[in-house]
Amino acid sequence: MHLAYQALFPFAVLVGAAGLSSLPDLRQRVGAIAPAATGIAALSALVLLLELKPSERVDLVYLRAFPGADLALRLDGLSLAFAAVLLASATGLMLARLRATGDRRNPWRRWLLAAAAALGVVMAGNLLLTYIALQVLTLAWSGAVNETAPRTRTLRLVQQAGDLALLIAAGSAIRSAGTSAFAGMPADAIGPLYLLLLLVPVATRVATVVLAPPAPRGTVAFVPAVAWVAPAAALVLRVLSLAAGRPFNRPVQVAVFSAALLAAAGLSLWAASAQSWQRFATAMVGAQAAVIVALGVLQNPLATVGCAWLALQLVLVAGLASIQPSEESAARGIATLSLGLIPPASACAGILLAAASFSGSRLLAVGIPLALVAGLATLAVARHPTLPRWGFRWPGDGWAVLMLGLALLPAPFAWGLVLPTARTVRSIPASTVGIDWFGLVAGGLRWPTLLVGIAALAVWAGLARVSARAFTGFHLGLALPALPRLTRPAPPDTIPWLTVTWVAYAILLLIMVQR
Amino acid sequence: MSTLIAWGLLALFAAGFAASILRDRWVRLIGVLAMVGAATGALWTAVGPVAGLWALGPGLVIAVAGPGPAGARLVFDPLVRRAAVIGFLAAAATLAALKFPIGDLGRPLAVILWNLGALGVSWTLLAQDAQETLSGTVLAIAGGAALLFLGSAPGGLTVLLAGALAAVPALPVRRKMPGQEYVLAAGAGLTVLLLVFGAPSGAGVGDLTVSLRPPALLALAVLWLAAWALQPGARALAVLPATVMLLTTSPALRWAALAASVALLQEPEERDRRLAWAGLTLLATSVVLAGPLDPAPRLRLILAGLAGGWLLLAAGRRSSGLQAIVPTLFLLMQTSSLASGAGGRFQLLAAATAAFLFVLLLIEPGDRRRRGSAGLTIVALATLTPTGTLAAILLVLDTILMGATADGSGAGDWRQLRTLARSGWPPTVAFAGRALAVLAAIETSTLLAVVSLALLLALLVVPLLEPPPAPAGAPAPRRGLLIAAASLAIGLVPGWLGRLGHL
Repeated sequence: MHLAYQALFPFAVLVGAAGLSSLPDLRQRVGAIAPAATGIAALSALVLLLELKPSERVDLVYLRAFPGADLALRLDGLSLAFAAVLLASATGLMLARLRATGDRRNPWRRWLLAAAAALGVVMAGNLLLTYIALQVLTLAWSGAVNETAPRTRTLRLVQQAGDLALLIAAGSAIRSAGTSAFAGMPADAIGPLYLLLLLVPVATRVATVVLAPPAPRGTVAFVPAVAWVAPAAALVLRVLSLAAGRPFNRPVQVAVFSAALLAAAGLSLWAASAQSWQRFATAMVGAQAAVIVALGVLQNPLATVGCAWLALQLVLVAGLASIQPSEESAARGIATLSLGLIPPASACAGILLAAASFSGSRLLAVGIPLALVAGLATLAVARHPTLPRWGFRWPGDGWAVLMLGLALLPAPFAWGLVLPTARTVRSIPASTVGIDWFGLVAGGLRWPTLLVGIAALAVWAGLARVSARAFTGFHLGLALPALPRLTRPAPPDTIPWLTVTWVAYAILLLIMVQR
Repeated sequence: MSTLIAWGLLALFAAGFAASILRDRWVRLIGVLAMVGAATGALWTAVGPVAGLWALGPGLVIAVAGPGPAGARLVFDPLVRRAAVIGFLAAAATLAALKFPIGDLGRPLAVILWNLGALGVSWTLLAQDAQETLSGTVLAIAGGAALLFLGSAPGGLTVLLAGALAAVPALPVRRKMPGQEYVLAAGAGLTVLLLVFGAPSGAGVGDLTVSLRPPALLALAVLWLAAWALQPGARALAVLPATVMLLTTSPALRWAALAASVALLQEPEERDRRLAWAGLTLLATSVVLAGPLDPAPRLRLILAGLAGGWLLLAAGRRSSGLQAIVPTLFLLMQTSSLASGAGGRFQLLAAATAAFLFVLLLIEPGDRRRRGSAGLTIVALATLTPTGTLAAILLVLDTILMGATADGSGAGDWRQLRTLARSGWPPTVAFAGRALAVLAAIETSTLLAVVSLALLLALLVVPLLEPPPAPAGAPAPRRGLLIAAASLAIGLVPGWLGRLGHL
């Protein structure tokens, strides 16, 4: 199949399945159609990724829709790896929803459209299209065709307002380079300030993950992992790829690194004091996202590989947490451990790679704060121990096994997804990182993931059995404020202000005639 | 001899002025005709015998309309208010005539023309009866057009058309014409065909020249589409002068056509009527007063009049869709001919006007979305870029959509389509227009970028500030659904519209 049509295939499958889900005759069977369609879309994205050569980038322009920005898709390691992971997570969540008993709603059409819109965000070929895709995504996950609908209004407005930063950056790129396309944009088309602005949509999505009201027990939350975490993670790496030609300067690096790690530390502390597992999970997802931003600005090849690793695995971890596994399931235990930053969490490899890129005093400057954050995250994980019972529950436990496999045997994940993503962000010399079936080699350090992971699992199991109570008895009492509910304000007394405004405008006109 | 004629004409005008404001029925009619006669004489001395063609339109409609009913005796308050407004405007007009000479026209003759327009405006603002409203409208447009074309040595057809445009608001059209909708749709379609297959850049008959450039044709298609979609009934007649406004190359005719359109479309609410006439007066007087000034202050005055006049015309609280669209298309035509040196000044004025609309949006309830869109429209036009022009046209299309789908929430499957089309989500024209306006502003200046972003942010919050829509009622008219579907299609590929208009 021609690449241009092949790239559209996942969209066509998802939108087609969403169309089928609207047909009255198929409404009962769509529960089987939706995960199948999403799985097929994920596989097609993976096939596309495998067809690409290392570091190859293909820009497919379909239509000149907007002045300064085409309706174009970008096929590269970053977009396709995120597409595959995002759609795989969506498939897993849909399968989990089929097994859930506490929810009678029919979510399939909205979920399929949200998955398609999220796919649009990660595969968009220019900044303006990314902005438009983010807006479509917000519409898709919220389902609020009517803008006055009170449901999720605060979350929608926060995200829409944050996305304006992307529009500003796109405008800046069009002004300086004549286009906002990733392909034609020179490295200096976007200034450092605008690059930081591009992180605002990321920040709003992480904030919504953390502050949004948790889903009711027994239900599957599709939106956080697919519509918020995955696009935000992909956007971070896309920003880094735009900055690769001209890195952030040192003060910006230090400021963003410090702010992100402070946020991660704060969220870890909050997670440690969270009363419910859902709150703990969302806070830790936020903490990992903050760590991704911190590592991203370090801007060396190993840190980039670490950042890509963290970002890709976070989508899967957030997805696993979103299925809300039952308390004594293996999935719950492994999800809890995966939300931390030390073994056997899959995030650990990413942090190690980033730290390994430094030596001497710079290693201390980067490593000590990272170690402190990892310690706080470990405290949070220790506050929510789980002792699983024997048994296998599909699909949560299967997903958990996949996460564990990813942490212990990272080679397939690294070769197939992480390295292509990192190579899109910047050039990665072949000697930067070594990956084999049992571990990683980076910065002269060998990290046997399989051995360390098995040992860590044993230690955690022992700790959970012996001293779980000691940890759970510890209460920090931290709480973040809930998002305020936006209400319609009472109309102010307008008469004097109206007159004042008209007079002020008239005076302004007179002044502008005079000068 | 000429001085004697000038003073004689002034005396005739003064007598007509006094008779028309102090008496009713036949005396008032004779007084008004005397004023038109005196103004014709004044014009004759400046442009020659063609001035007689100018008088045909106003003279005929005033004479045909007849003396009207006997006027009721006014009580103290309205009487004083009327006297104050007429006196103030007459004094201001006289002062302007004496301080700002127009070409070689003698001062007494200039006083006649200025006062003709001033009395017209005062009658439109504080009319005693329908007859006075009609006469006032005719005199205001005729006087304004005469003042504007004095500086340009107009030909016979231009003068005739200026007079005819003044007569248009007095035409006795009370109901919509049979087959009107088909004519409007065919007009819009024909204009699109001209855009697609190409048209000569201009055409002319005698001294009357029209521009057929793609942006003007695109604006014309939008205008006819608006008239078809918004179903203004008998007011659809306003499309004819508005068409003249979009195609003519003469500034005097453009203003007269705008004034005639606005007069035909006016809502009965007094505040909006006053705002609209204040806007038209500002537009005309800024150009006339700027004539004798040096180039720099002249430009400043004209641009301030343009921005302020557009604001007054567009800021009406209950303006109909078409009444909001016509001034914006006028601004589009005016800005497309702005010299590049005027761009920076107009951008400052546009930023101030948009900031004013932003404040108005926040403090005054009702129709906030239209104000936000209007603010973005002037920002987009002030950028003087093709992207800005496209954004402005998309925002005008959104205004049409909002008007066409305002009645009935629709039912069944169409309800979602209609709700989506009326929202600010992609792929609506509203979303495309707003995004492109911000992009054009960022491309042009930081000040415009800041103002446009503030407006866009406010437009995101507007659904929160406005009361929730009424529950679903009768099915939406098919025309509204068609417009909604077309709007979504255009919002999906706005670049196509830009290429159609060669933007």
